[in-house]
Amino acid sequence: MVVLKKLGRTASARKSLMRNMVTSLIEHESITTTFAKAKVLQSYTDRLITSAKHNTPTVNTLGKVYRPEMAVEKLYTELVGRYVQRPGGYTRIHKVEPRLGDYAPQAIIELVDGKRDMKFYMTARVVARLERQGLPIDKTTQMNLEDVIRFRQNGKEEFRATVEEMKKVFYKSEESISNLPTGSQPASRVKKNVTFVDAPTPKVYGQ
Amino acid sequence: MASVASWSRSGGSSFLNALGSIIRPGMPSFTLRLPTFLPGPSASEVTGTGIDAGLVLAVPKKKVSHMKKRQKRYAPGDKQLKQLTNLNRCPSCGHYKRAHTLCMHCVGEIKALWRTKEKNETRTPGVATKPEDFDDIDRQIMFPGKIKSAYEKKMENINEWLYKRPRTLPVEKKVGKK
Repeated sequence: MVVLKKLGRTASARKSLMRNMVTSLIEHESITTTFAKAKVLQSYTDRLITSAKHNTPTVNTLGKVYRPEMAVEKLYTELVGRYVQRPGGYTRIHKVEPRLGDYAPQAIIELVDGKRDMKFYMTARVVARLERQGLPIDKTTQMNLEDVIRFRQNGKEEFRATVEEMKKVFYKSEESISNLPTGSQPASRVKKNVTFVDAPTPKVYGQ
Repeated sequence: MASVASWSRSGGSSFLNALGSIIRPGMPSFTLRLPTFLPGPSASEVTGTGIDAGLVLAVPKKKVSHMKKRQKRYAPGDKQLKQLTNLNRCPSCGHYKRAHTLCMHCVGEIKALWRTKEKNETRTPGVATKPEDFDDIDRQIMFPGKIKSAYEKKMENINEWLYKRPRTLPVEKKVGKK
């Protein structure tokens, strides 16, 4: 495997770091770390899940995680089943605010369609807000919505339930929706001093 | 030993050199092999030409003035706080947030929601686990008084002293505009 980022570590330390992080990721479904580590961990995890899906005799997943009694067990039972339909892209990275103290850029890396899928919950919260305000769902939210329920089992029903839950938890009072974005994105910019004309019909030669 | 005690600093080096030629490791009765505790002759005394044997090292000629020091430290633009221009509104709470970045306030709220949900899932109804679920006698048996260490006491009120990320400002309402 080509080493794209060394993360200031020797090969053995890097291997230990990856094993450690991927074990935590499998256990908790979502971890917060620095952005650089998250990017390296993303390809490592995706390769691991792909090889577990193929499950050929040469695949060695035992050496790539710690605590195999938990991690390998979950990998082959829960995760492989969850990602049968999904053709790659089993992890997602969100940028978050820099770390307090050393201002290191941080990221949340999560297993897609898991119990701690931040995009799923964030989108549900935005949809809850829009419904509470009586606004239509905008283009970006619609795109996110389709993305999070596409391969999820009972995605639609679960999303609906989460939206209702979000309404109860976060947008119960009138005050909570008093200072929220009201309009969606501005419509296409109108240019001044420009008149649009229809394109002329093309001439057909040779008739 | 008498000669060691009366070793003087003037001319000591030549004396030591002379001794070094006759001292061999393995000579049992000689105790002058620990002269490092004694003050040795400095370079100036050896050469006799003053401080640092006539060498002059580079030093600042004058004290740097208050103005020049502050110009150097605080004037460069890359050392000053920069304005954030990559800001937009959080679609769920409406406060400011960095573009292409999650709003930390909403992330924290959603994480707290997960925590309460998982707590409720793991807790089987009807089974007493908390101190308030027991009657007085059972509570004394199940939860005897525990002596807390200073660290545990400090961690009890962690929310009072731990610095937390402040919440971003709300976007002000535009008056008279749609």
